[in-house]
Amino acid sequence: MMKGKKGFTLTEVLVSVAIAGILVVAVATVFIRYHRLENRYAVKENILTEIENIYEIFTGSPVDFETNLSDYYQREIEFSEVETHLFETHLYYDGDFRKLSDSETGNYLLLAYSQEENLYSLKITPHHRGEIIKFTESEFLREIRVGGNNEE
Amino acid sequence: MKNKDGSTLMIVMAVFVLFAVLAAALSVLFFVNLRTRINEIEERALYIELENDVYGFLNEFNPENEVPGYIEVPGYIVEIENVDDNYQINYQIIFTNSDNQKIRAEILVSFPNGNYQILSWRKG
Repeated sequence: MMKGKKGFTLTEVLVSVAIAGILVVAVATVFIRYHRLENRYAVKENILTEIENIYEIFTGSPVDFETNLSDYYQREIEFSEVETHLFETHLYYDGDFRKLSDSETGNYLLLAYSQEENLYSLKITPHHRGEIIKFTESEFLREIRVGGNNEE
Repeated sequence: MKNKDGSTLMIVMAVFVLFAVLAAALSVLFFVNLRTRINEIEERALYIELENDVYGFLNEFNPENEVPGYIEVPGYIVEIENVDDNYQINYQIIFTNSDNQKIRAEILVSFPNGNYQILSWRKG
């Protein structure tokens, strides 16, 4: 049996454990914070991917947007008329904006689609947990005058 | 402080310090990675905005009134060049974000029947 001749004293062990504890808590805090931030930015990336896809569909053929959007998502996307020539729909997503949700959630894209004469416009407003997510100072609004080939 | 068998508290402390340094280095790496992702997100959003603004610009563009050169558009530097392809005069329009010159698009447009037709679109 050891009788104080080998190993560390109790004070040394307590100090070491205290330092180790502080380090572990600090590192865990950093990792948890990083993980949360990473999730937040993953959501933003997914939102942008959806917006890019929707604008590609719109730009390809503004006239057939509603039909093409339904084809893309393989489900009936219904727009309701909120004002004359202005139609809106909500695309609801799961928590991280990877796929469409079957039920209403706080994560959605509000699509406002309008047509006046030959000018078509589409405004996309992303919402996450019910709050509007802003990426730039201005809104995402694309207006296309039809009559030409707008393929990029 | 020295233990009786020769091991010292310094060794333990050195291990802790090494651990702390490694954790700090890893944190820096993580946050640099996050910073890069934030920049990418910002650039993608700005590029969508640029695309929207290009279409807005083209909706108002009248080739009869425009002369080659630089013109002022809020938030952008726009350069217009005439490109003669023997059949018609096309316009090469370079849209560059004033604050971030990486956000840029070069488009070739023609105006048959007065409506714009985008012939090519090059990003960046």
